[in-house]
Amino acid sequence: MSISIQKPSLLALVFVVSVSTVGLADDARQAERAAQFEREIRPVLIGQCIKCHGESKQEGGLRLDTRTGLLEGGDSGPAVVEGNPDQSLLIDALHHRDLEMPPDSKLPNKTILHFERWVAGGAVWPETIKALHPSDGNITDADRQWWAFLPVTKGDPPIDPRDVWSQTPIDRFVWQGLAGHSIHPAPAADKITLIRRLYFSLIGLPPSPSEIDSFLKDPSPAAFEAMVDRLLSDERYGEHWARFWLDLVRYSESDGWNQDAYRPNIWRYRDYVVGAFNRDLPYPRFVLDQLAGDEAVDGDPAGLIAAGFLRLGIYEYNQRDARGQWNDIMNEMTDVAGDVFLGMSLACARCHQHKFDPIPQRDYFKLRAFFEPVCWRDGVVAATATERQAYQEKLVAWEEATQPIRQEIAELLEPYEKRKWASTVDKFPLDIQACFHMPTNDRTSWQEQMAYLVSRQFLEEGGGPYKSMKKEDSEKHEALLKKLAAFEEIKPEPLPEVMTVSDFSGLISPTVNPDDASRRSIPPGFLEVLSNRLELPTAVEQSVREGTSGRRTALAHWIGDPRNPLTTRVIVNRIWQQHFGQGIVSTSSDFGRLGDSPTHPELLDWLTTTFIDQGWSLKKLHKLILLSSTWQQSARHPEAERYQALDPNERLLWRTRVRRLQAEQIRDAMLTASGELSSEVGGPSVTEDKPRRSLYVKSFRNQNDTFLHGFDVANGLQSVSVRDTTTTPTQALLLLNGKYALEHAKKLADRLLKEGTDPDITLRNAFRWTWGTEPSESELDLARQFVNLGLGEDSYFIEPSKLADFCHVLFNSNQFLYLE
Amino acid sequence: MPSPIEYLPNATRRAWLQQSGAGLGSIALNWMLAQDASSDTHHRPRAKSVIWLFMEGGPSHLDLLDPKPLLNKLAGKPLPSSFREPITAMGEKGSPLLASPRQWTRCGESGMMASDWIPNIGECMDDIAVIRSCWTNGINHAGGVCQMNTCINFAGRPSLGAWIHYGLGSANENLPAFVVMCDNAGRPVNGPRNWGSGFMPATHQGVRINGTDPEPIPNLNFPEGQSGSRLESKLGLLKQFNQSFAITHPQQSELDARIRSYELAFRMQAQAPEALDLSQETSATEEMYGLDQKETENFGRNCLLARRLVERGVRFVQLYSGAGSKWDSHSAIEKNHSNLCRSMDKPVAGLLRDLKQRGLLDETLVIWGGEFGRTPMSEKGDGRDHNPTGFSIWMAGGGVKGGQAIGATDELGLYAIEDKMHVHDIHASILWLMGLDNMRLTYNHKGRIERPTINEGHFQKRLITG
Repeated sequence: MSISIQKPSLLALVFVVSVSTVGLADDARQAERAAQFEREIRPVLIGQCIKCHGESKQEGGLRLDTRTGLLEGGDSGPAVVEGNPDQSLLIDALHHRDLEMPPDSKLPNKTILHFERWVAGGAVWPETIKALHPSDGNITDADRQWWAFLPVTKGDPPIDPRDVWSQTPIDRFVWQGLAGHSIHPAPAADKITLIRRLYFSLIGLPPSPSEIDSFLKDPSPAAFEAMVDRLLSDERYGEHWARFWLDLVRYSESDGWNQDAYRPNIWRYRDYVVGAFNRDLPYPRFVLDQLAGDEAVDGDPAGLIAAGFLRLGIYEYNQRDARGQWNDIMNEMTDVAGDVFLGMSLACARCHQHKFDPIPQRDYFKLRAFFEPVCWRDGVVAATATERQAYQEKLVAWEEATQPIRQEIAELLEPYEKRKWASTVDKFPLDIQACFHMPTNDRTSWQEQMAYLVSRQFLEEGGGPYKSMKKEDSEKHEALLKKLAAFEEIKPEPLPEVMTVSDFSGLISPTVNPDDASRRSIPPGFLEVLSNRLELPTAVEQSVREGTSGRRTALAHWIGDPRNPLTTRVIVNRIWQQHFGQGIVSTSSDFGRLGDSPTHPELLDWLTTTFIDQGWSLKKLHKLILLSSTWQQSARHPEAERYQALDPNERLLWRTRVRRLQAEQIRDAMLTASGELSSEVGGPSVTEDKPRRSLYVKSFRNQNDTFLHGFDVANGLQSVSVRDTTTTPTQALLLLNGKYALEHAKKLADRLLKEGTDPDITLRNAFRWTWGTEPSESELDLARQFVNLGLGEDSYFIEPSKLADFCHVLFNSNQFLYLE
Repeated sequence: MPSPIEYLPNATRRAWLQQSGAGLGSIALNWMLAQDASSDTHHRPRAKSVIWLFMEGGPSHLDLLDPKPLLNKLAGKPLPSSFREPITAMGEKGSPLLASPRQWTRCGESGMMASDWIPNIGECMDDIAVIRSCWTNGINHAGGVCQMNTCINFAGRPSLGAWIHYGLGSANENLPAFVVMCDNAGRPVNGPRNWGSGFMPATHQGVRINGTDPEPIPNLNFPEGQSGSRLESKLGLLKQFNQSFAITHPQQSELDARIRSYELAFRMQAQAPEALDLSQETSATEEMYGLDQKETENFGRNCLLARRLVERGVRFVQLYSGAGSKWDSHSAIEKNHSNLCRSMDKPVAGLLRDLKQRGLLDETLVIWGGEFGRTPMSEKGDGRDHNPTGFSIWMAGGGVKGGQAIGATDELGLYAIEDKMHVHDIHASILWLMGLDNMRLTYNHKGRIERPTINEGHFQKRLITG
């Protein structure tokens, strides 16, 4: 095992990316120095120096919060001489030689060594950092100048007379970046490549051979656009695009923790998301529904379902530390809201002022305060007034008919319920028990939340109240239920029940920073750093139903405000990322200082303003992107090798990158090829063996052994904005030896044999169902040889098992697994 | 699960990156670089591998490693008011203290105490450092097990094995670097999340192996009728297709990686069965681990397999004893712990002795412990509830100085009071022994510099100095 003191961390990567637009090969060294600064220098400057030598105080006339300050120095001369530690007063002071800094105690030798190395290396100071700021939570002007906080400005797409490539404004921005490095974009992809790419991009599924044929046959230049329109209005569009949102909101269908109980109604939230994409719900409405759908005056059932967003976190069914559990739940809700909507990781600021971004700790609690009155509600009926009324009318008849039976059941169960209530409540700490015993009207929101957590254990913990009934009683119970079942015919279909939330209607408990000894209450509020840009709803929104605080509605309006520079860029960048595999800001959930800067800032702004101008329509945004030359480029570029040296991460977009299909796309493409895929949209989730789209496969947080897990699905534990794409022997084993691929290869073979008799056509179709393209002559020859075609008497017969093996090879091939 | 790149020696891996001119998808680049960046240690490692013996459900420190004479004196009385009453998982209020009827022995030269439930481990006490002052946050199994594995009770972070794999990579390209085994068919609390990779790529997650299953690793075996020449011709065709695709798509090195992943899978298929083949062991060795007795057979087999795996370079092996919270003794602790200790004591001692006689103990860190301990107060009359505020674990090998006790609980064993070691400190210490500094092992996730111990935790130096 080799030993090394100098250990580049992942930060290096961040900087590789952020400076790559410069397109220079020796960026790597520069990046490593920048990473060193970030890791070794900056924290020390912030923690030890700038309190006295920064923006607010300049002892000895010295500022150490900017590079200029270091070079210019103070009363004693320059603090740093680039490349020369021995002449740098800063180093001298750190060693406590002539000067002694920090004055009270010398820093560890290792830290001083880091500084020496940094100065020797030229005192690299990343350009993106104008000035360091103390972590006291005060926002400086410099903070407000960070690109993501500046207003979005719509610039005109650049014009270059040499540019004959651009078809859309997007291309003109991209061209400008390429031209600056004398890079030429790749030629346009061929039509088959394009249609396969488009299908996977918009509906997550491959095109069928006949769909490919009709596209190829249509020579009109409008054919592509027509297909974009057709796919955007296909229901399968929502099924595909819902998935990236579900990753972001850490959607899964189980509780997590140990029991990992399945949430039978949560699929309605998934269907809401699918529907929202299909209906092209304007983004602000989409945000409002999920953050505050329950607050709407109209009581729209869709809003109640969408507010299930606030129920997606994990829950532990037998936790007696109710206070701790709720605190965790609230924090997680806050963290996820920050990740998803703000594209900023706020979680750091929960425990301390954010070290890298201008997010003071109180900002965290201001955000959390929006959620303070949230109470979880179970089994809430999500139906329109008419539906309710119709249900009620029918129910009355059933209730009357069954009254005596139900009465008997109630009497039978009562003692068991009483006992369970007592034992449930008893297990909690005394102060929590007190919350439960308090009349609802006297409770605060926190007390209500505690009471909820207590009462929920009545049903779920220890197997529920009826687990250990006396034998005679349980027999009696069963008999009564049977009797009751006889009335099933006149019982109305139950109305949909959902997991949702509502605000506590009484006194809202204060939100407090646990580190603040004064326990001062923190009201809801928006990011301080944006406060001078957005005069957004400061007063609590009035357009909400009675009995709710309107806090979350206000938050949703702030997020969906067209003037919000952060949230608007964040969503546009996320959409871009889905189409290109990488965002204009590659760290799509981190628009802060540790994140990547935009490669094409003007393009991002142009897209953002256009998106808002077009009524926040995601479908129009897709179309804008898909019709661009940029998106339609080939993955093959004759100059790829040379350009990679210039732009290793291909951030300038000079070709399309080959991408592995996502887990769902692989499984769904197998089902499409084998002809099994069900076209049913929505409804309760199913097990993986059912031939429905992967979106509808039940997901459990404590599971990792499904086919989908083999290919990097999100685990539902944290918000995922960019999925990992791993390449492992485990995947090879899964595809080669695993049942799933084998079975579906056999089904594809069966289908092909059923559909055609000409062996050559059969083989060709096998290629087309999996690769999209026609095979080359040599590939077809390989296929013929593999299935022994043309050998012996049976030359016009393919043995089914041979064909199945061949299809299995195709499912394992990169032409199938990757998208060009 | 291991990635092909991690399988490559560092030099090759680096060449890989250079050859590709970093023309990788940045996502692929992300984990490859991460791996590359982390392949060196921060200081001289004391251990090369970890074997973590996880007593799942929470063994009673009061009855195994941390004798409390006062407990027996006050047995039957309520917890004295001088002790703050903790929130307990089952919420029994005011339950009387429960005596420990154990006989204690001073063991070896060090005179360390071990109870009559662990006589064999007792004989190894001179190699063992008992940490008596552990504490953790969660009061429930789910949170406790999650925290002992990931440093926090809340789900979502990578497990320690994943961090170590991320930091050090694999030393054997043909076996998973992080292996988990259970002593019964049950599922540990939280399931595979315990050995998951959290926010890091799935390449770092552990692989559960079942040593008695004809297919110890999922999909390891060729399906019936799918081997031999049939398989060869399939693989041959696949290779031709993949190569022609790669040739038409130069500068897309992920495609090469996938071709390699098939070769590696092939090698794993050949080597994993050999690693797990106990027929190569002598009967004396088997007897040492208790494979000849029914009650010790299951855990003994896993302990022996663990030795074979670390011998072959597997970095992190976790063995669950009582998988599925079996150590959880809310009632009838006498019966529960008698049985479980019998199933575990001899195999564990056998493992320590075997590692030592083969010279492997110096480079293998063995950790024994549960997710928490148990209360001095009784529950349901003859059981004990969970105690996260004070409990014991022990470590041996891997540079740890044996024959010592670190830290202490109060006089009833309820709260840790001296040299307290939080799970953060436990993990920081394990990492340190593996040559990794818990503050310098970093992973950039969504704008946060993540560290395995969540920016906390210190190496307990006494582990190596005594």
